[in-house]
Amino acid sequence: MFKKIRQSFSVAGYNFRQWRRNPRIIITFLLAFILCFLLSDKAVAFAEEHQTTMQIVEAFIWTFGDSNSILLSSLLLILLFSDMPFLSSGTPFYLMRINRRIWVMGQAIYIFLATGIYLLFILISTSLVCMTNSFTANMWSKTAAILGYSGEGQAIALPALVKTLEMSHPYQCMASIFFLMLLYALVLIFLMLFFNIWKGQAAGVISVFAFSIYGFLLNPENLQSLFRLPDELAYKARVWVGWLSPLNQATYHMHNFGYDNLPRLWQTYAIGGTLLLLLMLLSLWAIRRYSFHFRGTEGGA
Amino acid sequence: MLKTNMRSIFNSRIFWASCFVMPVILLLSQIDGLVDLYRKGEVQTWDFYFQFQLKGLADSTMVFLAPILCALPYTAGFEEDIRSGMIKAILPRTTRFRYLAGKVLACGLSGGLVLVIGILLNMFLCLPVLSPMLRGMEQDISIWPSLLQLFQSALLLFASGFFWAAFGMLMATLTGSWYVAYSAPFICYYLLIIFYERYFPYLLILYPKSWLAPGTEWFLGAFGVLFWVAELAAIVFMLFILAGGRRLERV
Repeated sequence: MFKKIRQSFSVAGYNFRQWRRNPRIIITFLLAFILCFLLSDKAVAFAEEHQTTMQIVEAFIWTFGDSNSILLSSLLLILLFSDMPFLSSGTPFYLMRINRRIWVMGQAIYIFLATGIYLLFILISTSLVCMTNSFTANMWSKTAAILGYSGEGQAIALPALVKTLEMSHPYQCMASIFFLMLLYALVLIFLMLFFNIWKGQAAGVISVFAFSIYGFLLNPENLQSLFRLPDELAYKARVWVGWLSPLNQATYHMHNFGYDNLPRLWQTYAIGGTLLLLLMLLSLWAIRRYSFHFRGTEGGA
Repeated sequence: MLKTNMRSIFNSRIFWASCFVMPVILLLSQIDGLVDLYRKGEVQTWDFYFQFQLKGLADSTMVFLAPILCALPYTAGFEEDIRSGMIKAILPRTTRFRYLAGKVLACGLSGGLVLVIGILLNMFLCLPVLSPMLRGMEQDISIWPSLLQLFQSALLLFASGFFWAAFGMLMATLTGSWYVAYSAPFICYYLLIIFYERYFPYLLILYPKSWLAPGTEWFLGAFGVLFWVAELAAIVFMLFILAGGRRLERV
């Protein structure tokens, strides 16, 4: 058992060694940094305009409390994992020593860790780009109060809701958003892994786009304006969409904090965990029939 | 060599596709303003037509688009020659310096021309859209200041496009990667914007947005920017000759 776990980690470690001097990886992280700057610009500009300070993780909370920002940041993961199912010059040597299931388990560990590192980078980058006007104490800033209580947040499409402010503190809120994003990104990438192994590389990429478009279209505001729903029906649609759309499940303010019938945070974690487990099992099933092709050009940028 | 490279650029679909992308996106980014104009139905002068172009060029869409478009046509040209083995057929027919200089100059020109041709196409595309409104008499209004301003913007965009495309080729040569060829101009462009806007507000000289629309802070205004960008382009040219020369030693 321990030997198998060690072998899985060895496969994951080998994948991480491919990161060294890899232009694709460096570009992904640099683009993620730029994305954080572009997405957090609204919050920082708002604070500058009102000459108020911000809590250091508030920019992350306001930026990634929005479903569109989560969608954009997760799409960059396609570039990070574009070499999926990670066939490299070392793969044949691994496959001679371990079985396919252990190899897939190693890839799963790599995906877990790489996605975690990527999201941690997003969190740190967002904090870095607004650090010149920030403090670190675990309390909401004046900027947050203005955004939440004056309704100005809605006007500039920043999801600074009163319920977010009143139900938690910045670091707890940040942790919840981080785990929701992590769960969404992992489901997305495991879906890509499964389709990659089952139907090929193109199917993997198409599945990611289909999943993202499904989440993007199931947006309560879009549905309300498209079907011109009255307020009562719009509320019901919002609750349905909150449960059905994976992107809304990953959005912090689309959760039940005692006011409505939206999913609670633990319910989202349970649904996400179940989906991950299911996709992992499906990948283990699909790898049995996967035919490995080595052209001798693996790992080239 | 420059002539051959320019011929292959003008024959490439990517170059013309990049030229056409610019007016389409510029028009889409101004669609709200256009709808408002049609609703009001006010009569406009030709000066408005040029001001409309200038507004489009100063928009954030253009700031975002410029480093992407200028990198598309030819930044990977040198890498392609090496990877395809074409370089072995070219080098016996010319000197290394002439080959490398031709490559980087053609790449820079393609980057600048994409943006300038894009502006011309945008003007052409806007004509049928705006012409129903352009019935106002000019009287005391002269169109020359707006026209000159548009010419200045086009010149500045050309200079920036030239520099960023050549920079992309240099980075691709240093790293040996296609990914870098297309993404390095955009990444470096935005990193400089981040450094200026968030950390070093006194480094105006390294702020690429001000290269497109220099304010009063620039010494000699637009001429100052042109000198500065030309200086940077010359540095990139020299670095490319050195880096490309080293790369060719291994061919």
